[in-house]
Amino acid sequence: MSDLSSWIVNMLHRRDAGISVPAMDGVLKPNSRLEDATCILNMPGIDDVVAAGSKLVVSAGSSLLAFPLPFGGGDPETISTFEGAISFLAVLDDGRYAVGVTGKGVYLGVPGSFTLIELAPELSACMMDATQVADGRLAICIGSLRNPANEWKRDLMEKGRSGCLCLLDLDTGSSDIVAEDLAFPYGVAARAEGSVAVAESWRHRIVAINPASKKRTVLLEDLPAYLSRISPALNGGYWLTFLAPRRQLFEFVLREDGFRKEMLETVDSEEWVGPSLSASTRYDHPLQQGAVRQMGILKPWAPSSSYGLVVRCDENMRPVESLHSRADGALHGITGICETDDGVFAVSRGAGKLVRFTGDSAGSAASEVQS
Amino acid sequence: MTPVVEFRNATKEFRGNPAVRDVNITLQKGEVHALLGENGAGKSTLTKVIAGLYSLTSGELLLDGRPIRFEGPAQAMAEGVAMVFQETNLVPSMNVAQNIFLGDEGFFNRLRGINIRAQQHLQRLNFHVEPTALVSTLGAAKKQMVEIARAVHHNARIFIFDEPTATLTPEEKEHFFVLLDRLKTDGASVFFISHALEEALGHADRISVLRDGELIVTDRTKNFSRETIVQAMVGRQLTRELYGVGKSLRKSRPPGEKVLSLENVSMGKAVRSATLSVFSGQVTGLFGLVGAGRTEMMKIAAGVLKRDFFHGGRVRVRGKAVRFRVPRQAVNKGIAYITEDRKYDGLFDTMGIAQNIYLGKLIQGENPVFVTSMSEAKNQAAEWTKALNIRAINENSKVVELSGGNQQKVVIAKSLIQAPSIVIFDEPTRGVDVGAIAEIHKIIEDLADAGAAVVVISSYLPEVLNLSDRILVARQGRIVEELDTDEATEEKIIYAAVH
Repeated sequence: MSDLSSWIVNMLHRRDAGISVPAMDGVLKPNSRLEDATCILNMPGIDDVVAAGSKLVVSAGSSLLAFPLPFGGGDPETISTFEGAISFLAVLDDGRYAVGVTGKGVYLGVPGSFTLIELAPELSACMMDATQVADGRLAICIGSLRNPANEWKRDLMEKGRSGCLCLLDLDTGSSDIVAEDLAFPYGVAARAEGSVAVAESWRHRIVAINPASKKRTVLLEDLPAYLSRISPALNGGYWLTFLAPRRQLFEFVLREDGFRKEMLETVDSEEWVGPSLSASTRYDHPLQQGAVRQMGILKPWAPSSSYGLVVRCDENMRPVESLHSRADGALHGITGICETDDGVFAVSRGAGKLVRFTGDSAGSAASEVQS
Repeated sequence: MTPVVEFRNATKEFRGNPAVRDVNITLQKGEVHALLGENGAGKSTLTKVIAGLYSLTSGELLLDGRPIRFEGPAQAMAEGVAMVFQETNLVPSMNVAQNIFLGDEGFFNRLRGINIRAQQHLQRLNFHVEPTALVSTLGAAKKQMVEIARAVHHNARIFIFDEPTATLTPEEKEHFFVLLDRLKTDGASVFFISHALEEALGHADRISVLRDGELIVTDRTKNFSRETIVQAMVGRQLTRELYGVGKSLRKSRPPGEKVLSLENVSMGKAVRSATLSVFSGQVTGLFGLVGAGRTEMMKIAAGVLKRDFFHGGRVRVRGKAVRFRVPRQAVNKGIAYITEDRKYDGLFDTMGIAQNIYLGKLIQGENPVFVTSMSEAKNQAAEWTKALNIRAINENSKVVELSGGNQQKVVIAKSLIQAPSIVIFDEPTRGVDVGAIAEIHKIIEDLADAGAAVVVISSYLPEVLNLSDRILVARQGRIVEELDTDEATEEKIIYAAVH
């Protein structure tokens, strides 16, 4: 019966996951500004970036690297190495670092002196981001309770809704789950009124979750790409980063349960039809292209599975500017961002690069640093 | 030389209110005489006297030097007067050939013969219209062609063209002006009313400007410039207010909330996977050539047309997916669509101003209103008449008695009375004089400043450039370009619309 109703709903095209994606227009109109930003570090595995006092700290694999601030260029210094892959990086109000290490938990401290707060294996396997909330606890996004962080694509294809928001007491080490059934919460940022903004990646939206009342409010939805992290902007707004674009093809695959199930069971994950962090260089994979126009006709299909997108929002989470690296660019799969007085630093995990551009905190367009 | 048409101290009053006052004007043989003026200036009234629709209250109309008083349009037609009206007056349920031969039928009529003669006639005029096509199936431009063909068919020697080019595409306009030159060469005399001043400057021998029913100036075309005409029409310099100067001084409004979005919307061959967003507090200009699908896209958003049932994409209003079955549902979501064809879709022209405006209010709400308060209707209509400066002879005037610009304002008032948050203007200034254009532009700007999301569909590039905070260009049923106003130029927009 459910199969029949599902078939009818599909045929009538009334389902929520219709084969359409939101427009990238208005504030989100594509440009090349991210692609034109200055690359300051090439490092495969680079994932997150934060500003900690006089240092710009970057995570890559199991290492923490730091640039001195004000930023003067040069190579970063490795300040710490951990026993597992670093999954997130946060700076507490007292200046200590909170470093999430996959399979372990959260390391607190300063370089050279970290202490571990262990977390349950299902929580520590897929920690994505963290921020300190008003009562001093650490709000940690657990992307999925079913899949580890590096299996994010599988979680998407399984339509994962097992993510949660966990509050970790830094003194006692106890954890409390305040929001469940989240669709891969990838990023989190504290808000002025005490709630936290959580980027629900697979639902393409940002929700405000009040840790006390557990009430959820949608702040921004219907986004054209899968969200990754959120970081506060200097002017009181937020920077949003995006993992990969939404495409009609992916929406179609996500709608076709039978096809997707077979694909997950029988096809190598490299070959899955779905978003990716970077363009494939394999000769047997289709070329990533944007819209192709030939003989004056816009060709109907040449989708790219990866994209670079950074959006600045105001304090009400309304987009005010965007930076793009399009299908013909390389800075795709943006997973971290941090704004300092020296400019905005963004991590392209897809390209393994850290780039810098200057943002205009007053609200007008950012102008890129010309190297 | 005796003028073909001459008005001597012509005055025409409606219920004691003069529409034309003490006008002296002549039309010579083989002359194209442009009549210019704001809507309500008296141009149409004056020409309708020649066409036998009205008779003068005082003064004289002379044809070839002899005083004449037409008893009706048939007599004027018999005297060789043909009028092409501002808004087409064809019978929609008849085909093109039947409309051309309407009033000229024989006792026995053979349909095939009429069709063949109509085809020959249309070919001679170089108008590509199928003579057997039903008029109701034709677009505005083709209807205008049929109207012109009908006038030419009646072998008229005095032609009156009232806004003939308002609905024509650039190519069709070229055809029209070739036809105008041919009529002139054949010795026909033409009164030509147009709001496109460049057309008058480019094709008329003489220009007369009327204002508030009075003749302000008549002179040879070479003695006029655009500025002097506008000054004579409105009594002040306006062109710089309308286009050009305002844009450079005005700062684009920042986008607000995304209130309306079309995602991969398709409807037959007219709209093909169109994707666009509309933001509050902004004017979004939508440009495209005729047939680009821009009107259809917005009609889908407003529930006037339905997108494809299967794979027709998605329409979202404030983030929520919607599928409107009737326009009323869209109205209740705060969407107002102001039509490009006010006569056909926008007004009940034999009803009064108050009734028309209040109709907009009646459509709102979930339940139909069975009892209406006429006093409330009158009060609200009076409020909007004042706010939009709708000029009528009196408050009980029927809409059909208003000038084109004032009719357009009634259509706008009918939508704005619903207090919409998304307002879609489709060709808001078509067939509207420069004075009313400025007022309509002000209405549009004020709406955006008040936080409404405004979409302006226009074929007139300076209007799109001047009004819009962002410009979308449609081609072949989809949006192909988005331009910010500071980067947009006419060349860029046209390039996107064509290539």
